[in-house]
Amino acid sequence: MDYLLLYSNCVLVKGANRATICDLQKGDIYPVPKLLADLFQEDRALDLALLKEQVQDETASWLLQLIDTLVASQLAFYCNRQERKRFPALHTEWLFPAHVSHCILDSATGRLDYFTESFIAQLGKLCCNFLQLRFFGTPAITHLEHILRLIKDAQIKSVEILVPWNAAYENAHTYAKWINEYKKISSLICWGAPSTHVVIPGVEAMGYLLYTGEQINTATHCGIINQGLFSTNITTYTESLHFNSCLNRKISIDVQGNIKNCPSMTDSFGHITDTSLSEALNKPGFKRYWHITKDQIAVCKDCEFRHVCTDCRAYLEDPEDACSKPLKCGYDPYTGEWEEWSQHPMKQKAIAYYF
Amino acid sequence: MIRRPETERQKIIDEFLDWLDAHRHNLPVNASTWTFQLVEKRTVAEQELVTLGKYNAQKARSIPFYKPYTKIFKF
Ligand code: SF4
Ligand code: SF4
Repeated sequence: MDYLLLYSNCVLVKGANRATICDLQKGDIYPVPKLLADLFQEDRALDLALLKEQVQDETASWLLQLIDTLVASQLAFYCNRQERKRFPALHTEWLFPAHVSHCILDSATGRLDYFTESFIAQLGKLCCNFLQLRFFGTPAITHLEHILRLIKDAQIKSVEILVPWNAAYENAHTYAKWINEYKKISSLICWGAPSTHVVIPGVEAMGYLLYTGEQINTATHCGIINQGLFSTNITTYTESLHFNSCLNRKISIDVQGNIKNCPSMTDSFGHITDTSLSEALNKPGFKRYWHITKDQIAVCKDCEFRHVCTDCRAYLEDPEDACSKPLKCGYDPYTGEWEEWSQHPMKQKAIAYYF
Repeated sequence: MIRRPETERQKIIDEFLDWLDAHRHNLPVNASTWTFQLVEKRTVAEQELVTLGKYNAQKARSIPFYKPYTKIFKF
C-alpha cells in the first residue's frame, strides 16, 4: 500500500506542540505527536514510502505502530495511489439557514416580560431555532410555563434553561414536570443546588435535568473553556473555520433589556422596548466579532483543539486586543498542560479589569 | 365444514365463518383449511409529537443545538 489516508470525517488539526485527529462523526478527539502529523500531505495522506525514507529505524517502527493504532481506531485506512483519488476531502463550507441561530435571554428578577407572542414572531422572522434562558432570580411557575407554552408552538427547536434551585419547586416535582411536559427543553440546569448531579439523563441530548452547586447569578460566569465543553462535530468544525465559534449568528438580551451580540459585552444595539431584534442585528457593528476565527486569535491559533473549542470574545486575556486568547482558558498549547485559569499570574490584571 | 373455534368469545369469528360458508362458491378451494385468530386492536395513545415550526414539521423528539449555547459552568 502507498498511503495512509484519513477518513473524510477525521480531520487533522496541528498545534504548536502536538496535533489532534478529530473524528467529527463519532465525536472523539485523538492527540497525535507532531512528528507524525507533519508527515501528512494536505493534512490527509501519509506517503508510507516517504516515511521510511525520512525517518530512521526505531522512530520509524514507533510511527508505524502508531499508524496501525489509527487504522484500528477507524480514523484512517491504507490505500494505493489510484484509490486515494476516490476519497475526496470533507467539504468545509458552513451553511446555516437562519439570520440568527441562537438567542440568549438573561433575567435578574425571574421575569421576561417582553417574551410575548410578538417577540416569538420576531425570533421566527430571524429563523432563530435555539434559545437559552438564563434566570438569575427564580421565575414564578406560571410565568415560566407561559413562556414554555409559547415556545411549544413556535419555530424554536430547543431551549436550554438555567434557574436558581428552589426547594419548594423540587418538593413539588416541578422541574421533572417541566422536562416531561415541554419536549423542547434540551436541558434544565438548576444552579445553587445542594449537590451537583444529573437528575434526569436526557435522550439524544434532549430532556436533561441537571443540578449544580455552582452559584450562577450573573452573566459574568459565562466564557468558561474546558474539555467538557468541546463540541466535536462537522457543524462546529466547519463554522469555526470561517466564523467565530461563539458569537456568529448569536443575539442576546441582557438583564437590563439591551440587545447585544453577547450579554457580557458592553456594546448595546438598542433596548427591547423600542428596538426590534432585526433592527438591532442590522446596525453597524453588531456583527463585528462574527468573522474572528480561531486561526486569528493569539495562542488559540497554535492550539490543536481550536476547531472543537468554542470561543469567547467577552472575557479576554488582554481586554484591549480583540484577538486575544479567551481569559477563562487554562490550556497552554505550547506545553500541552491544563491549569486553573483563575490562578494564573498573567491573568490577574484581566481578572481585575472584568470582575 | 370449517372448524369453528370453541370459545364463545369469538362471536366475531363465527360471524365471519358464517359469511365464509355462505360465499364458498367465490372462495379458493383451500378455504376449508383456513384457521383464524382474533387479533384485538388496542387503542394505543398516539405518540406525542413535537411541533418544530411554521411548516407543520412534527417530530417525535426535538433537536439539540450543535455546540454549547454559552459556557457558563463546567461539565
Ligand atoms: S462571548 Fe463569552 S461571555 Fe459571551 S456568550 Fe460567548 S462565551 Fe459567553
Ligand atoms: S487555547 Fe484557545 S483553542 Fe485552545 S483550548 Fe484554549 S481557548 Fe480553546
